Amino acid sequence: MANPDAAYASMDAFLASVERRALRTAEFSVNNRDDALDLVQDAMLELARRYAQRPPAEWPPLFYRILNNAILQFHRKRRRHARWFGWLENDAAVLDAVPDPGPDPANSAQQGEAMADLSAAMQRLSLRQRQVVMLRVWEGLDVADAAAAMRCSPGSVKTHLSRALNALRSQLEEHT
Amino acid sequence: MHAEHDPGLSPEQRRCAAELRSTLDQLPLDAVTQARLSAARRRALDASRPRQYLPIWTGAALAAALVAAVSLSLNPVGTDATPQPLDEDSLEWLALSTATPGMYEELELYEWLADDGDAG
Repeated sequence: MANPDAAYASMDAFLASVERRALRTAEFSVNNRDDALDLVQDAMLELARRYAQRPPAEWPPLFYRILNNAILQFHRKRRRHARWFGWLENDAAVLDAVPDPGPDPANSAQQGEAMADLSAAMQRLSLRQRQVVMLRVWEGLDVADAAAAMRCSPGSVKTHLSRALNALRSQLEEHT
Repeated sequence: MHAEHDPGLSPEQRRCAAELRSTLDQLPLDAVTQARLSAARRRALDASRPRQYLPIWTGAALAAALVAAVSLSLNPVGTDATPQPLDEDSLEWLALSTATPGMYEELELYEWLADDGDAG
């Protein structure tokens, strides 16, 4: 894309089209909206800085790969921190163990029972399963792009998705 | 292709995927979070945009042009450097200005002699 203004506008449109889903993906993964917003912003920045000149068709898997890496990094950092400083933060650990009520009670009420059930069911999935659900079910990436975003094989994507859907189906049926 | 159309999944899994997608699509996002998200997007895009070097280069070019103009006005290039012939007064002044003190003394002596001769 030779024209920088056209590339900028195109990137802006792409990010606007994925930002809400990206935020939910990050939020399901880290259970905190502020952290999720930071991760999404970092992913946007990296995509815009490093890949703005790449064809727009390549942006979705690249963006989700960056976001997924950021999420994995976030969990690694949190684990490392807990390992080294956990003995200092017993009170904080107790607070962290309490499920995050979300940023806005009014918003939670809006989301309704179905959303609450879905959210609870998603939390029971592994991180990889959550990622594959968001990428394949919601974002609509095909198997190859989802595999590129998750840095795994297409076969692994299919397996994760199949198991995740089975788990979600049985959990959601329990609630209905 | 969304998972709900994936022929590799069972009909139940596809139906589950369709319901999931529908539920996720209906997730509301409060105005504050939407605004924060848009601001994050703008920050990311602005930070990634290459800086505008044009004004700096324009300023440097203007400064260079100014220096060149001042330099040319002080030391004009291309003007006619052929020496002009000096007039009589200038030649006399030049001769006097290049004379040594001894020559002045001799000149005064000759003038005194000439005056004295006239008087005598």
